[in-house]
Amino acid sequence: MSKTLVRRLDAVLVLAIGVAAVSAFVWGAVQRRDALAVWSCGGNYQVLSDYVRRFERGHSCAVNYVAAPVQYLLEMATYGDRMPDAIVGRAGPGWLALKKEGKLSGEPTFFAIDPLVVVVPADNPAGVRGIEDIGREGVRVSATPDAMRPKSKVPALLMSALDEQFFPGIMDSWVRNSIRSGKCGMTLLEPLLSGKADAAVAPSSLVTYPEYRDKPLKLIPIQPKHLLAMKKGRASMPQCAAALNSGHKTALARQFVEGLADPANADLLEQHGYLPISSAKAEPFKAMLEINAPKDLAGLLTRLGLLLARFGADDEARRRLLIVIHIGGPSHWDARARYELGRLALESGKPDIARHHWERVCREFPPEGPVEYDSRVLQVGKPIEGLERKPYEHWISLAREGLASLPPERRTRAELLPFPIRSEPLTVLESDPPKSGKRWLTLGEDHYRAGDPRYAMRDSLKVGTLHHPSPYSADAEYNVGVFQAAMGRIDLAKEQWNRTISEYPGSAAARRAGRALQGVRDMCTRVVPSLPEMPSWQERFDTHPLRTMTYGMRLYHHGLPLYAFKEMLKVIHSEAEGTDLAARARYCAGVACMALEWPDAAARQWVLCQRHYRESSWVSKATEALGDLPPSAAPREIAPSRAPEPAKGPAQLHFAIAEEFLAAALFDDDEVLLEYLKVITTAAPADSESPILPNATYKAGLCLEETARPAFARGMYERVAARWPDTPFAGKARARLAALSAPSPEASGASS
Amino acid sequence: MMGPDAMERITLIRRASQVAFLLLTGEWLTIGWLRCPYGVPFVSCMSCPLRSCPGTWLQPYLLALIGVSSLVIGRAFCGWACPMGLIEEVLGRISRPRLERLKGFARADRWMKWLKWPALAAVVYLVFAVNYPPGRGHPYVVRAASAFNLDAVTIAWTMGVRAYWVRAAVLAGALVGALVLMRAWCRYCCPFGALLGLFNKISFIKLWRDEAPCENCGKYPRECVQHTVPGTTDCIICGDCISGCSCSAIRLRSRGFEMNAQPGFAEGVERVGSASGTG
Repeated sequence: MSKTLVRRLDAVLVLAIGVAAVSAFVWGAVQRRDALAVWSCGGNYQVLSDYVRRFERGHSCAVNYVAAPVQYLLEMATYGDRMPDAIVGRAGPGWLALKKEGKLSGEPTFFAIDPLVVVVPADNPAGVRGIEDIGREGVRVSATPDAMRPKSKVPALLMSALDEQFFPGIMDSWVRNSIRSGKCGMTLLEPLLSGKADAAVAPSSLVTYPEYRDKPLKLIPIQPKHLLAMKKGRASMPQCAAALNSGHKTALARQFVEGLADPANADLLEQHGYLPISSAKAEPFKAMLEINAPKDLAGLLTRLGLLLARFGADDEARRRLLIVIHIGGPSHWDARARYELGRLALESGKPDIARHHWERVCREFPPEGPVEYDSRVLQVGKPIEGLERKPYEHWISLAREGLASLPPERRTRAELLPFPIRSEPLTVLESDPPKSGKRWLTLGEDHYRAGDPRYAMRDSLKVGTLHHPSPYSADAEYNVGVFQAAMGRIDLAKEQWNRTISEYPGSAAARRAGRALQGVRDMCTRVVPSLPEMPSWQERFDTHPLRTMTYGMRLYHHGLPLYAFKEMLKVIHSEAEGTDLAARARYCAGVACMALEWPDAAARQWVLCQRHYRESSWVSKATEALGDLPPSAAPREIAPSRAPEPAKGPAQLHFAIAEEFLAAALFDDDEVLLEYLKVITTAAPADSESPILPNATYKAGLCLEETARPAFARGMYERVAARWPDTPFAGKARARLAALSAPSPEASGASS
Repeated sequence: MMGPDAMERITLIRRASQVAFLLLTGEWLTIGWLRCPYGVPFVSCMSCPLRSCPGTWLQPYLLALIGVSSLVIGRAFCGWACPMGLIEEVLGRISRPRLERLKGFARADRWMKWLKWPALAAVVYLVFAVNYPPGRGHPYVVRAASAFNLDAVTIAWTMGVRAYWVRAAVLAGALVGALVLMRAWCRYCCPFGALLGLFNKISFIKLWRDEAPCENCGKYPRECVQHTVPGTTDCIICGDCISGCSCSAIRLRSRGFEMNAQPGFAEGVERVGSASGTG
């Protein structure tokens, strides 16, 4: 053997490895050219792998099958240069994007339902009987909040819908009971097998994966009415397939798609935990078989915030923009909202706050790694005004420019926030349930960082009341004390911190409260006028009206009577359990009005209490209170003789609240304007032809006019006249436009 | 003293072993570098949802094998089995890199060898603290029946996960590095190699240089593929130095008795195998 032998051998090896690698890819490419290209959602991988083999045998063809997160596949198929012959996935908005781009060959075919189920260990140690037990204290629930939508966000949305419609408090109880499993949805059921969790909410197909098949797990179905309660997120259950106009294999692709819905292949779908569309079991879920683009809540909130800012209602605008981030987010709107918050702060002479917001824009955007909300597929029908992709870039550059133009920092962080809260903000995840305790907690903290302890308190108080028993209650209660202290109300702060210690002993918040109490031991409270006394209230959380009443009472206790008044109105216009609660709310609303020094409005509330709830014990209190009023106080509007019907949907509720404000001629704090604008932005498509929209728009105009913003009022009236010309409101709007156009006597005098 | 034929024989046996491992792990290697859903590949395979990747079933066996072999004979896995090592070595052999002969290289080499420790620290940090710890999955998974599915690779790369690009750049860097410097990746960057190198200090069998017969000719480390001294943490126990040392100063030595490397390293390996029961 010579020394060059190894070198020759190595050359051969290099050649062999290179040739093998290249030919493997070339072979793959050749196969791909002749094969039917099928892409699917990762969750369909198991069933599709089996179906692909069956299809290949039956049609003597090859299928090149790839599974991945479907929104990326849809994005590539819709806007990229690669397109499969068929695509399979959940019924999300991507299908609309494909259709809009003319890439679908026919309509998508629904072939199965993959319903959410409750999964428990076979011996069911926690005795879970149904979805309602998921929130029971002591039940440990496995969750994968970082996973893709069907195993993270969708269970959260289900909990939110159940909380709203069936089981008050279940959403935050589920959060409290949650045990974080891995980042991947595949790990969702592992804690059930290891004894670390008692239940999980998962797509039924997950239980049939090789990791879990034949494992001691039991499925508890969730009733169709509970699943159908979910409006947003339910699209992940119906499974769709469609052939694409990819070229020469469209006919074969159609056969592939039709085969999925063929009863002959139902056995395969059932084996993998799906309900085939042809089976009787899928019948109750038929209402789900539709493809919709979800409402862009964050976009609506941003527009509302910007509109309020234009109207000069800066306080409410700031709150809306923070809600975009904490309640509607995370979304691509966050960067814009944060930038606008900085701009508003600068305009109101708070460069330090502007700096805080703009620095966060530069630090937090663009988000690291791929995020679902960046997908153009999800933007279908809601284009991002002039900014095709990565809309953050625009706001980041504006924030940078803003930062460069700011004067040097003067106040330190300690000066800005004399009473500290959490130093690092909690991260709001896409999978956090909408309007959960965590989201309100982070919103409250952000209000405080932005220099607004009043709003901070308002939102933080929601955590322990509307979201009882949220795991974030202790933190929120501690924070309320901080906000009170920041407003100089040391007595209330001490009371709040003592409450934190007694209600959440042993928690980190209780320890911080103990330290805070030591810190303010020698501080004096700012003297504030005392409010009229409210009747005592035992905190209760069984129903939403009871929670709202508890929240309203706490708002009042913490010196926020305006917001307490609004909550009382919500109780009155909700489905209150029995009239006694509504009567109490009317009475309390009157007390709140007195605290706001609105005796006329208080008189109205008490008169309504007398008229609507004649049998209630609160009538005598209302009568007594009316007797104590000064003679000049009188309700401005004749009250209706019957108690109001419960509001159906958020638009009606906001309208009812706005009407209450308007009836009492209360325009302060832009609350009435805000409520009418909320009607406009939250109205369901079904409301577009109902009189509620022109009415609300017209009255928003009246509010603007009343608060000396005639130019904006004109815009509202013009919109009513143009959009709803045949309604009575159009006539009223035209009359107001004429009045606004007419020269005022002072102006005519001056000109003459 | 062994002649060049014996040395060639050892290298040929080593190549055969490396090729066998390449055939065994080639698909895993491809998926790991091109579309592993984890930032750091080849680590979290047992919890990976990508069930079509052989790593999900192969990893436990290979880890056990590496563990045992490391305890017995230190970093020999790098020299005898690692497929990346094979690719680097054959690329180096045919391109005949001469960077080592540049003036000042030895000094730079000494410093650059420290790079693999920060690399190891970075990987440990990424795996356990930042990225995706073992036992957890990753949502951005592309599945396909074959590792060489072009669609799967392109989809993985266009999903926008930075890890795919960073990893591809690292792979490209390693291959280019191998063309200009023998086993550059193994010498300076490989975090796994750095970890295994620690076993060279505690393993049952070690490479050892006998000071007495050594004439300090400087052939090793000069001609070593790792450019290192036998027995250090950089040594991959490839055996080239045992057979190539003109004064037979380099030997295998176990705890308790010295391995007589003559008449050939291959025979020595056989004896060690039978002695430790892994043979």
